[in-house]
Amino acid sequence: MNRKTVLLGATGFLLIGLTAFYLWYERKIEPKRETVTTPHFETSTPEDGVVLAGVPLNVTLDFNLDLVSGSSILIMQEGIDYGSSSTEIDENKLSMRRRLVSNAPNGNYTIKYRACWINNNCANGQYFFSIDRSLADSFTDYRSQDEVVIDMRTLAFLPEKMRIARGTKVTWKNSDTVNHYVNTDAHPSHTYHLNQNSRELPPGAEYTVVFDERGIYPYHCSAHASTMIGSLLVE
Amino acid sequence: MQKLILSVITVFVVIATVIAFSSSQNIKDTNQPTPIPDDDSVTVDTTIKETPEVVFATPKKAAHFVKSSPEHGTTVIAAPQQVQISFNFDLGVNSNIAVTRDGKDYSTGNTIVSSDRLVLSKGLQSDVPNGLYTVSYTACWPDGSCHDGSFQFAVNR
Repeated sequence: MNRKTVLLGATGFLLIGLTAFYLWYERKIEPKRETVTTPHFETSTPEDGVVLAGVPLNVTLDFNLDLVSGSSILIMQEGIDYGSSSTEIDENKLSMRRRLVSNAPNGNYTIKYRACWINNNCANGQYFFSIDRSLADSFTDYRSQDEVVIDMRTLAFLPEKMRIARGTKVTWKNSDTVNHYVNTDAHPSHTYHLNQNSRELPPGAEYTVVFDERGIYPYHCSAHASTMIGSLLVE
Repeated sequence: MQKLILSVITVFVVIATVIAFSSSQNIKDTNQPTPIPDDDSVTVDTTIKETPEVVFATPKKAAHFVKSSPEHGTTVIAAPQQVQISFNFDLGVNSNIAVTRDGKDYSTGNTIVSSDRLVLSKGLQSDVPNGLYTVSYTACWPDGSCHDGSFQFAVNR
């Protein structure tokens, strides 16, 4: 056999082998980033594709049909599950949630979930979000204060992004001329942080919540859900 | 020497190919407390059989749904005077209920939002015929956005 032919063939096989190895490595470390939505899915917190300044309390998924046992959530980054508890189905049976470890690292996360309904019909879904703690610098720093006030004025939460310490008492005050709400994401399910859900707040009304757990808390006004949004970063 | 080099390269290529092939099989994540089966097939049974005579469709619940009267999947011996749906969050204007059978709406009057804004209700004709009724509702929120839901009940005198 001609020497050049042998070397050429060997080089070709070597390239094929290296390519195959590379593809295997990529699939193992970085799963295909394709959002898959199951039937009956409505909303999620965190949202698909969002980049957060801190670790979310939990991953909450909302549906329009009662969930049953067998439903589950994985919170994956580079092959590690950063969920800190088992998956729980809410009392209303329309939402399921799973908490995250509070020191989950920065990076890209894949949420893989399995939703099951009556007659053991189940479906798998997935979506993605990221954590980037450098974004915390854009939050107004109130960590030295035990009690803070967020003003609801000109159809906005002021300040919109607030950084506070664990145990801080937060009071929202409606200084506007219209009614407002303080509701945890997502709209309209309001399931992410169930202790942060007000009813209608007329002008002059106040609403208070104490935040005891570290994490990020996205919220909105249900009367102006598309524009009046806020976020609390508890550290 | 040439044969030795060629043999080594061939072995490497075979190993790499086998590894790449295995990556196309199921990849199980480590540290997985609640494994999710890889079965991506979706089989949604759209019927809930309560009695052999009536087949109820899968209900759809809007956010904040608490309960309804009649309840989904029930068979009543007399037509209810009204249909009521309870929520646990403020309902907005334009919330609506329709009660249909074979495409005809048997509800009467306007949809009423309770004073505490947590209950929708609508009257029903008293002489509705036996059969399967679909309650289709639209729950609207303070920002004007709305989400629909539905459930079914049957009348069998």
